[in-house]
Amino acid sequence: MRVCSEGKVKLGASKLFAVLVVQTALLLFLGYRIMILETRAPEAQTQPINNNPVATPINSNADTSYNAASRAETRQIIREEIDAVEGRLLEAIEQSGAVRSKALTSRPRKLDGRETAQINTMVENQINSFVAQGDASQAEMAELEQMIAKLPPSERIKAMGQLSKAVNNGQLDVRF
Amino acid sequence: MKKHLKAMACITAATLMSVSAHAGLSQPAVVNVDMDNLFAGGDMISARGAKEDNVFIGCGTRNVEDGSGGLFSWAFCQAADADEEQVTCFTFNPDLVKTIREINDASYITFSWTDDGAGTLTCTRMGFSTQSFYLPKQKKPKKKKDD
Repeated sequence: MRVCSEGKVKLGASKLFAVLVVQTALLLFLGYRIMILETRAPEAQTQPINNNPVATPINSNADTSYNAASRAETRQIIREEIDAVEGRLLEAIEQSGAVRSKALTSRPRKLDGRETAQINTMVENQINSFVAQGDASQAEMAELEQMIAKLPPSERIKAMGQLSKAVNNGQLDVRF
Repeated sequence: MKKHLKAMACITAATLMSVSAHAGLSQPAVVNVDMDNLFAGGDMISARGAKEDNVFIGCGTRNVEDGSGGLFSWAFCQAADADEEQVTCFTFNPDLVKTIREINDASYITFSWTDDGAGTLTCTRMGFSTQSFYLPKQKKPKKKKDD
């Protein structure tokens, strides 16, 4: 079971790393977009003047209002970009969270070969211990049965075979 | 002589009355474990009432969660007779496991098994029969004089 929880920790760490990478990429993308907007802003300020030389005479008030409008527009664009990035980030975080909670509530995975071998050894030792004492209590048998239940079906039958031998050879006196 | 005749008449009457008080077929099945034919049988009441302390017969089930959402279900039958022949077999056949529900306190139980030669016995047949002739005799209540 320890191996199982380590596996979950590894899985969680890899997911967090993936989220970190996504976050970094999105931040870089955001920075890049801001940089583009910053470079475009002066152009936007100069373009109407350059393209429309016969426009109304530029006075300080008009320039101030234009600059204010441009800044507001830029802020709006940046806000929209940030909102979009935030949305993507939240989505990514939610997905990783869902994966984590799923990992916590999902069924335990099947035993691997090493774990099966470990339980087999424990079962064998338990049966040998019962044989050595000549009998087993109902509680001891219940514990053994729970151990055997964790094994894959083919291994269960082998373990029950060992138990059957011990009982029918007269080495172990048990009542089920 | 008259006294003898009276005594004989009384004994005959008493015998007839006792037969009528215990009417009904009685066919108890003492526990028998046949290691040659890989068969055992006997009724629960006879087993429980046996003179020998070691005699018994029964079957049962175990259902254990396997920790992965599944269930490990198996059944067993075991018996020991007055000759100290004893057997325990297991089965993992789900259909055979289900049949254990049929047992009750007065059942006659019979089962068979296979042996792999090393002592691993697998139940291959389980049977249960609940009939009046396995039940212990019950004395009829005495009739009242005014009946």
